[in-house]
Amino acid sequence: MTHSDRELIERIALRDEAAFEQLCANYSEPLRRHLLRIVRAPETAADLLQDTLLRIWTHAEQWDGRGAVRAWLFRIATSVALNALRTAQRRPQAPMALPSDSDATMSFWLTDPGLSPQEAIERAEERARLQTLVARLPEEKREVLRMVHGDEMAIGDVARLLGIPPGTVRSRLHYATRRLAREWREDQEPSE
Amino acid sequence: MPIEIASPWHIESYSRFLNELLPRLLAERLPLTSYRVELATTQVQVMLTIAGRTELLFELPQPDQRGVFSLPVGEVIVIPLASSADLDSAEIRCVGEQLIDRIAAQLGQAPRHLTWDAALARDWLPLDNWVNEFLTPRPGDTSVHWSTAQWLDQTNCLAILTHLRRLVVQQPQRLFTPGQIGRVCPYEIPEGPNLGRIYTIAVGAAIRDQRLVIFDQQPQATLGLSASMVPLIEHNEYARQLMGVNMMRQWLPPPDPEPALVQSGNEPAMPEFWCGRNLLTAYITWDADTFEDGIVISESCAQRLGYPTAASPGDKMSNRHGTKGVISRILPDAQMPHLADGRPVELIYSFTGLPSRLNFGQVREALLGRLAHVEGRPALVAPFAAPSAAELRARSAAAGIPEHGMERLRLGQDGAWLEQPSMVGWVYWGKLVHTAAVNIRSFTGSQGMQQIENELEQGSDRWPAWTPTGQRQGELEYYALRAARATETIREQYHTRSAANPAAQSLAERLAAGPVEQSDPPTPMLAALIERLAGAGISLSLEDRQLRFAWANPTGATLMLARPVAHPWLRDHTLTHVGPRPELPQYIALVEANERLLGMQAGGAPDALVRRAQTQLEAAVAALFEVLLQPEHLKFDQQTIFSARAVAAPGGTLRYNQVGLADQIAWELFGPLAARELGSHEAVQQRTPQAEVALDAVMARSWVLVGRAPSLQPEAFLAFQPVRIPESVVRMPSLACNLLNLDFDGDQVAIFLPVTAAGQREAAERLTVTAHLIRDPDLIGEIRPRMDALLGLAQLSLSAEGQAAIEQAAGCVVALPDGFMTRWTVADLLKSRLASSGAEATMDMSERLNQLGFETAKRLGLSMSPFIGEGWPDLARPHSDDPLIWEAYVEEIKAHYGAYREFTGDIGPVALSAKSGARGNPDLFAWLVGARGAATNVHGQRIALRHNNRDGLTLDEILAITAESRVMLAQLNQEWQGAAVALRSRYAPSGYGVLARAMHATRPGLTFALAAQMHEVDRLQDMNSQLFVGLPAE
Repeated sequence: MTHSDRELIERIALRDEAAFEQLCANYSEPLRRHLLRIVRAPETAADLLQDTLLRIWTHAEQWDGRGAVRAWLFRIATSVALNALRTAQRRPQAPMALPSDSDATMSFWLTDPGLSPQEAIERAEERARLQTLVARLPEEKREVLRMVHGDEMAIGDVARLLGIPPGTVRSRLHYATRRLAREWREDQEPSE
Repeated sequence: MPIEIASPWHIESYSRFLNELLPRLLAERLPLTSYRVELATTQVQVMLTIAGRTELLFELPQPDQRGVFSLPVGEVIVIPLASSADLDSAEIRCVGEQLIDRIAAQLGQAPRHLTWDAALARDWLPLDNWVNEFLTPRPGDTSVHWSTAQWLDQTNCLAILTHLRRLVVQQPQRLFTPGQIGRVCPYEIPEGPNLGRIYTIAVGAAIRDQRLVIFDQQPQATLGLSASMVPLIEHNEYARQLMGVNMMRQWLPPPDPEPALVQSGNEPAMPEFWCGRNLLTAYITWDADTFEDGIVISESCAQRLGYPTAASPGDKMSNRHGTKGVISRILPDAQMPHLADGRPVELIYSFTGLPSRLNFGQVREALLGRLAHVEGRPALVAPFAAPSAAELRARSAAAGIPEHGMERLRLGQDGAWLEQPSMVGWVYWGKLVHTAAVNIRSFTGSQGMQQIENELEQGSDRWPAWTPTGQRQGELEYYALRAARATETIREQYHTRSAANPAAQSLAERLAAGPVEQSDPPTPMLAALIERLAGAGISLSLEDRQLRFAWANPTGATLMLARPVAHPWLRDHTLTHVGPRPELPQYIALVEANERLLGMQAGGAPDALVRRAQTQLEAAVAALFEVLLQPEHLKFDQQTIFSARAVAAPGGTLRYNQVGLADQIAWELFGPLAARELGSHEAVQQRTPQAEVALDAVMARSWVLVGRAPSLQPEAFLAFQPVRIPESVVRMPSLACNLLNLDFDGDQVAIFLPVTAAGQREAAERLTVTAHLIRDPDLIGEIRPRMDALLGLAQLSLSAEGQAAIEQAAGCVVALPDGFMTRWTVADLLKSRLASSGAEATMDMSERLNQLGFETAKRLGLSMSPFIGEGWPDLARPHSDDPLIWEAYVEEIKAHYGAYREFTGDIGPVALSAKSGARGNPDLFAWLVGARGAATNVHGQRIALRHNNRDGLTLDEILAITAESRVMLAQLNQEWQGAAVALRSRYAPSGYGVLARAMHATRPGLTFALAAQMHEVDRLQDMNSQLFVGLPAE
């Protein structure tokens, strides 16, 4: 088995597609499971598997012929996953999934039982409209805006949390607001 | 025995997370060498070592003893989750278990032989980020799922304590289960779509070892905190009590707490708990001011309610029995009703609000409040331990209170005596957070963003409150206006006055300069559609009243596909470019799939990989196009400016075609017109006396539209002549209330000012009360004296002199087939006047009768006795447990009631109220004074309900009613949705043009793609299509 794996890698380094398909058939599933254990999300694991396989194809000639092929393949997968993990750490995660058909009204009820479903939905829609525009902001501006607007944090607290001067928070906020105000209007203008 | 209010499960669960669950998970997933936790006051330090050498230190939030996390952004509580609605067997996951689930779903299994360093370890395990993300609530963010971490509700003491005892059922299959009894409060549940999901843990239950266990079986321990603090709860109907306990959490805390005169004994021993006021309450009618739950208070009372701001009309109040209403009038003490000893009443609530709600507890509270006052100490009445009528009579006699428990009142300090004794006593009322000042809004342009910008420019430290730019007008409003044939109004609300119309920003300015016309096409709805279709490679253009469709690549910053794919809406067509939609996650996914394929192509990847990437690209395109154009993108839905909303209050002396507009709204909406009238912006800005004259002049020439959601009928929009009032409410004439399905318990109405001449003309011709009446004469049944006014007429009609007075007001002979005035005789009378003399004469007549009815009801002092109907009828109560026999007993009482014609004694007003059709019905009457009969309990058994609301029900009886009420509440929610569906199908788009077809398609993209392929032209022949694009309706 090991012997044939080595053969496959050597042939892949020579751009042998049949060998590559054979290797994929042998290792796609174990590699996918390996990736899934690291990233814990099936869709991400499927994407990373593709990236891993491509890396194997493009880097096959870098295999130095020592050790087991299997271990080399898994190291590539681990490295691909670690890269993804580093990028993903910077992105916010969605909270735990709950039944979603009345997300808009649920949290409102908890503080405001006087609100009718219509009113609750109306408020949610107003916010959703703004949310769309906020989503288009550059990440660092959006972060500041969300903290100050969404989480109602004071400028000073945001500055401490992000480790940047209050002036920077204020200027990012200023930029975000200007851009939001502009887009709020432009967003509604018809494009011919 | 004091009740248990602590909720230790939060802190226990978090401690388990830190000391047991987290180290175990980390050891499973990582080469963990050491793990240590150190507690500080608000933080906890977690120190760990990975692979023997990489050390990590995390600072995590530490909750206080209650389980509340004090984050820099606010106070947060995590709601426990139950695995099922069968709470006896459900697994309950509190903060610690939820956190570990969340972390387990994110933390990867580390492969062996990984070389660890600090950077890798931090990326692998960003523990503090995960915990903080989990603990940060995302209010109002509908783009993500609802989170169990919530800002602590700190409205008042009870709100905090209750929030700590809340429970959410993850996926409720059933609304009410045997396992809920004793574990969660039967009352404290939401009425809306969250019915069955949110509960409050009963005071006799607690979460222990992930189970909800019962440690106290007493009846009152089966209640939640709020309900356990409602004295006389056994006298109250379930549905009203549900509102009552939910509203107690919304009472504003006063600076000087005042304990209730009547207490349950379960209240916590902390002074700040008490948020109400003991108010001397009279349950009588007081003109139109107490119509539909309006509440009149004295000036002294207003002073006592002056927290945090002065009490004013439109502020919402409630008592512990679920009675709610807004302050309609604040009268000088001297004008309030007075007791014989000269003491003025502080609060008046109409007695007609009692028989139909069956929340009789407040009538007994009024009496007990008087007893407590005389006896000089609070009356202690635990739930399900209310004193009997006999005991109350004995204590009343000792206290010198008349045997019937009521008192004669005078009309004002020195006024005439009311003709009958009335129910008066101290009742505990609270003022809710829903005040008039908080709820008033007006919108005249896109100044919302401008305001925010200005405030931030001025260096505000916080993001100012988000101001929406207009009153939302959705599909239902569109259909209602269409049914009323108000097409110019539709053009205004969805186009000319749409906040999304680029010309909206300058509308106020243009209006101040001169007359404005309807905007030219496209509407914002068409503009958005054009943009969406352009992104999908379809061009749509409007020329010469025709829509033309063609294929055209999107322009600008488009995404070029790595490889052409079949168009998801039409397989024969090939898609090469997609317009940018960075706000859609599906677009981001498409970009990623596209980049991957590009990478493969560049890297000369083998076919096997390329094919897979191509399939992914096709799937990503299909997913994007699925959301790119959906049926709701073809619905009428806009935010409308030159609009406002405010709490509605009774209209007092307003005529049927007038509306009282809050000063603030009047200036905002009519300011530009006043500026034009006066030729000066500055005068209007400074609100000079000349500007006031100009403002009132333009208002006198204008119509405004009043609407109230949901708009389910053509008369959902009514045109009125506006009158400026120095308040923060919109005052509505009582005769118009029923058309708008409006009552005065906090309902808000929307106001719209048509700004074009065509819009104003249409309001006058099609949307006034009389115009609606001419369109649909059957509406006269809704625009007649109702409730207190009708009861006054019915009472008056019992005597010959009274009948003469009615005939004088009607200006004709009045036939009384029942022997007294009813809703049906009034409607018949008005119908024949409508046929003979037209709509305006009919409305004049309706107004005169309304006035006479209110005056009579007030003069008589009609009310409800605390001993109502005792000894009536003279029927032996069954000695049986057979539910059938008790149902028969209820029928027997109803039969006696049917034959009852006296209308004297203490049941007289209630009986006449029900029989005249003013308020109440025979069933409710039998339940109040007879017996409830029978109900099916949570086990599916039919059981006898031997008691009535006057005497109080047992816990088992209330739980059986709860079981039935839950089912009814769920049905109500469904019916509500059903009504909207019915309306939609009644006025659903018809026609065969492209737009009309797309409007009723479930996948409108296919319709447009086919139109582009065939170069189809839509001649816009149906009205929906014309209005959608922005053309006048033909």
